[in-house]
Amino acid sequence: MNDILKILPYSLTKQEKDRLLTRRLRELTGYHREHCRTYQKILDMLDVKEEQISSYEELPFLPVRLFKDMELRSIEKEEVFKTMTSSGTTGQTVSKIFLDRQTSMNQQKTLVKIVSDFTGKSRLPMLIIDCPSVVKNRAMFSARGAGILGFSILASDRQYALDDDMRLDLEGVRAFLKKHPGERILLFGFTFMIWQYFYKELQKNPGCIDLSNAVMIHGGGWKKLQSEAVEPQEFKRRLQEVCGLSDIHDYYGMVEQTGCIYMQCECGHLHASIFSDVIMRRMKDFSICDIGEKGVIQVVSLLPESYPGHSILTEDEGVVLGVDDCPCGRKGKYFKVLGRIKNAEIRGCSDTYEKQ
Amino acid sequence: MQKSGGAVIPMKNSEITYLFGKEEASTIPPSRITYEDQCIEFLDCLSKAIRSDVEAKRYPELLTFAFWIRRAGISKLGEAYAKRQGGIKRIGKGLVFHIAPSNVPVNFAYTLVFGMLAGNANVVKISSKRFRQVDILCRLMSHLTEQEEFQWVERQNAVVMYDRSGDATDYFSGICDARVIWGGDATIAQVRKSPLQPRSTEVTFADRYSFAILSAEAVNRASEEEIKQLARRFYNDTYLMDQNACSSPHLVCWMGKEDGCETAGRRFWQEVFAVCAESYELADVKVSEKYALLCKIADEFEDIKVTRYKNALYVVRLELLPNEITELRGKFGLFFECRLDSLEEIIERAGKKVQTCAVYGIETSEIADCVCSMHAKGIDRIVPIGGTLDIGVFWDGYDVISELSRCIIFE
Repeated sequence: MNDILKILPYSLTKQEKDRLLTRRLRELTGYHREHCRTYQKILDMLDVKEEQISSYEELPFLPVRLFKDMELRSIEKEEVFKTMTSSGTTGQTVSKIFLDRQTSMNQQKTLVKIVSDFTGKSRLPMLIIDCPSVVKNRAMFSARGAGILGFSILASDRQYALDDDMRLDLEGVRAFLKKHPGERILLFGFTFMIWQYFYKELQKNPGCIDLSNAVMIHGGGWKKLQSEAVEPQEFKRRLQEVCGLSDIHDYYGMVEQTGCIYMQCECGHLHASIFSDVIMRRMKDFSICDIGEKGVIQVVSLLPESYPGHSILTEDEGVVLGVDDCPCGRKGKYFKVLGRIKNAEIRGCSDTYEKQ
Repeated sequence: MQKSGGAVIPMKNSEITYLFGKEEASTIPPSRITYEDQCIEFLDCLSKAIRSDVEAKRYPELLTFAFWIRRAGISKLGEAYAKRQGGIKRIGKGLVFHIAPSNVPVNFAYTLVFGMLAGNANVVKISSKRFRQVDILCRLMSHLTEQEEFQWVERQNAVVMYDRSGDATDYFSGICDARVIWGGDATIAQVRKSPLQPRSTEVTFADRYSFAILSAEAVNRASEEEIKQLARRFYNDTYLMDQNACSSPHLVCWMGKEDGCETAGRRFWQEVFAVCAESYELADVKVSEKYALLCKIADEFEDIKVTRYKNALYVVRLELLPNEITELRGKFGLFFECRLDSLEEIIERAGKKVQTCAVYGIETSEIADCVCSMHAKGIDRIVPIGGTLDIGVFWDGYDVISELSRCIIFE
């Protein structure tokens, strides 16, 4: 893994990357088979013989909700260094991901490599569009907290833009900008938080801060913004309007494969780095979609050693736009996420109650 | 405000929408005798109206309902019922309050007809999830009741919708003479918070479990045509309701020798797969849930063998049946299968949650005898494969007409 971490994140052609993924993912499959009893039983049920496969695309995947319904570990309980949870709202079941030191460290390193491809090698002063309390409980990391801490490593200095009542601390932000004159600032936060507590405040007083020399990275999905009908383009345009911010990157990622985020490039495409990949699947038979064809997203990652999450079938829909030929120059697959798979009307005699 | 047996139950904050009928229904008009002619006549006219309505004809379940309420069918039921009663006269209890299930669109019509045939006035509460089939039926009924001779139907029956948070359920429960609750355990628990009058009775349709028994020999012997038909019927029993109806089988038991069962299984499932490949709308979210369920099953059970027919059909073969068969639950076309040496093996495991036993190549009476002689707690219905969803006046172990009427004996 250490050798892999030396490779530049978007430098391999399809052929080279395929070889790397196949070798490492096959190895991880065998490893988790030996170390996680549940995973082994699932492989046996699916009749998988990983030593016989010729491409990582043939390896099996676990449904993402399995991480919600059961505790999947390939390490002893005592070796758990931290447990990450998805940021489900109250009442929802959340994914539980168990990390040891090694996997956690690899996630950090990977994240740094991917993000610095967009922000540059040097560390930047970082303005976190969230409140300090979200990272307080270090034993249980929510996806929000983990994201903030992960990105914090890239920072030369840090400032939270919101207080614990989610109010914009405009004085603090101004002081922070004054402290770093002429420097490029990294802004990080979750899409909805940025919109709700940052943009909407700035909108009341446009131009009160100047972020024309800043870069923003945001993630967490668009679901919550759908009710306000804010499209990605609109989001960018409006932010530029209120604070001059023009360098904005969305990313796609999930707590089940922390570290391997998919950054949006200057052309608006999400990119798979060499540390992970996406495969769009047709749900009628799990066959692989053609380029341009909508499917359900399978994600693979080279990092997970402490839990069997190196190949996961998500519940998101997406479409691969191309491979190795994005105008931004980055190699690898580039794609678009279309949102959650649609709920169907399920029949039956037993009434279903929506959970509040 | 309505008066009933001296008790006044004010309804404070419920807005009730009447999709059919009027508030009058709950003023409890006089009861009728069971299987009354006027009622049979109305149903027959409704049947014709459904069958000749362009929009209604598009829904197979409406046509099934229309077929069931024809005069010929209902009269036969009435005659058989009278015969069984001997000299006992039966008359409706009064007002029946029905809670229809939220996921089966036409069920509300069946429960209404049960109440009518038993001689009652009826208030049927349907889910606020709107189904086109419900609107169509209510439209056709309303149209019919414009005729003089059917005006009584509208005065004595209502289909209503209201918000769960209000006190309408308390109100109707407080004035009804019988309450019918569909929708399973959770709904029953919820509705039971609203008390009934001392003499009022209740019919509850709880969560149930169903399974099938097939004779391997019969499957192997069947002609191509027969096996295709069997597969189509099995499909109708299961996939048609996302395998989520109480009477949809989750488990297929094979009677016969090992190699015979092996061949029969392959033959049967291959045909079922062919039917669902051509007919089932396999939404992505269903595959997602089904695949996750399969992985969980792999973790929970030892000694299983799984056959996957793309993502349309998953078959999980068990070497041994667990003591609690109701744990063997599939969805969207995921089935368990197991070989049996004798009927007793499965009957002794049929607890009180078990409802329907669907069969092929085995006499239904043989299983009924076995249920009685073994004093089994479960199994109320033994029907040929293809008939599990055919709802009727005997359902879930109840003789529904008798449950909703009172008997008058004279000596």
